[in-house]
Amino acid sequence: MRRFDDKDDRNEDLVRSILDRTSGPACSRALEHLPGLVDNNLDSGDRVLVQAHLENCPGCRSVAVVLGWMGTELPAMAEIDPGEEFTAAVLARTARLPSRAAAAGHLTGAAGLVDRLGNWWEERIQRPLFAWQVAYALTVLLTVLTIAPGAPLHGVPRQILAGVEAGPARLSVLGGAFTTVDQGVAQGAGFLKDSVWGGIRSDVGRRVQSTELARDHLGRDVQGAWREIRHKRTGPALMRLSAAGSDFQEIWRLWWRSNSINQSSTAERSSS
Amino acid sequence: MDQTELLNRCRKGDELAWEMLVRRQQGRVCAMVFGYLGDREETLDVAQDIFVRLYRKLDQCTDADKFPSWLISIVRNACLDHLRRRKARPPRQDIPAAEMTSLASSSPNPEEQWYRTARRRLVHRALQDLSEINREVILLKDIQGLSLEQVSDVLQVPLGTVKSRASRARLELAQAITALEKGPDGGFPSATEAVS
Ligand SMILES: [Zn+2]
Repeated sequence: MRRFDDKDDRNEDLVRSILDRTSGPACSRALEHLPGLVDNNLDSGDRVLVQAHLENCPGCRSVAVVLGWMGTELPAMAEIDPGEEFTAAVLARTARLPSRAAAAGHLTGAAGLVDRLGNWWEERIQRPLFAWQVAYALTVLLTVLTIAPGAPLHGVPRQILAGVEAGPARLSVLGGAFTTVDQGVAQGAGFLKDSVWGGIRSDVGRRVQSTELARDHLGRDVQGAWREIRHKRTGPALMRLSAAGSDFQEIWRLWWRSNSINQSSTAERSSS
Repeated sequence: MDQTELLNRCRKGDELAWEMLVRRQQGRVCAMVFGYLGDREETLDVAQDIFVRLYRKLDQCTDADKFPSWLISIVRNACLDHLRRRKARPPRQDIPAAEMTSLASSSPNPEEQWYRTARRRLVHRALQDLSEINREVILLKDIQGLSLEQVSDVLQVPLGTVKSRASRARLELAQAITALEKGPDGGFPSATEAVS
């Protein structure tokens, strides 16, 4: 399947050696234009030049061929039939869940309470503010454990204490409890400074983002544990709780991964 | 039944409506998950989890028009989450290209049936060679048919970035496929026999 006779071959060799000694091969420029060529939105000048290059460059030509069939093959990959077994498995799993009516609050008794608690937790933990509040609550707890006289964890890094500086003044869920602890910590250690607040916001946003997946996962594991408890399956419940513990550790690790609360707040204060 | 009514019925706990929703969406959900994970068994597991999550979260999506991109976001989060966890485990599904070739020539297994054509198998293999963002642009825009605006919304990157990535990603995929075709074993000749 040769395209050229000997004369063409000689011409092609000449062109290549000239290009090698001048601009270099034009392939990268041609490749850049290929999607436009396939989509038919190149201007006529570019189109003529790219087509001429393709006639003489087998490498670019094969890429163009692939781009051509991708246009029809990719959209055809939008669906895969997972089979009837899959549908049945999904329906069986969702049938075991509390019915949607129950989730709306119609289930009564202990089971309903557990379901609602599970749903409540899963919804909450996926909200950035709530996850932040939980992380904050743990921070406060840790701080209390570390600054109280004779506390078991005396001498933790200042980084954790810095988290307390960031203490939320308005907490929609556990506000009252936090405020009390907040004040205690503030009086005890003198760490709560209003001026730090503005600087904390951007930092919190970043931390909220970095923990998103871990929070999502924590929600699922806790929900799973509730379900197992409700069905009195102790083994699986313990496993899910243990997984939830790891998720929490992951959130904790991601949350405190960078020590930038102090840095960003200092920077914002000095810039304002 | 239109999507709005279907969703309303699902939210009220109508099991038949839920079944219809699952049947309508399962093909798309599985294709997307398979695009991210490239493994059939894992895809089936993760896709099931996604539907369970969808069932619980249905109340959160009140606008039927936004349902498709909302669902895609749920799928994407679940897949990225799964990939993150997979990293912590010893590799199992990193099948070298050469093995893929021999798999292709052996008797059809369930995964082979999912590829359906040599070209699709090539695309899936090549997708794994792309950068994360380019792979996602291909999955969402070129395979799932989302608009540039929707892709920008789902990926939470600026529209300009998606626009500039779109052509680049397609070109990189085509180059990766070409490289696979010309691989050490001669690749998959059947994939380019019929040229459009
Ligand atoms: Zn070329």
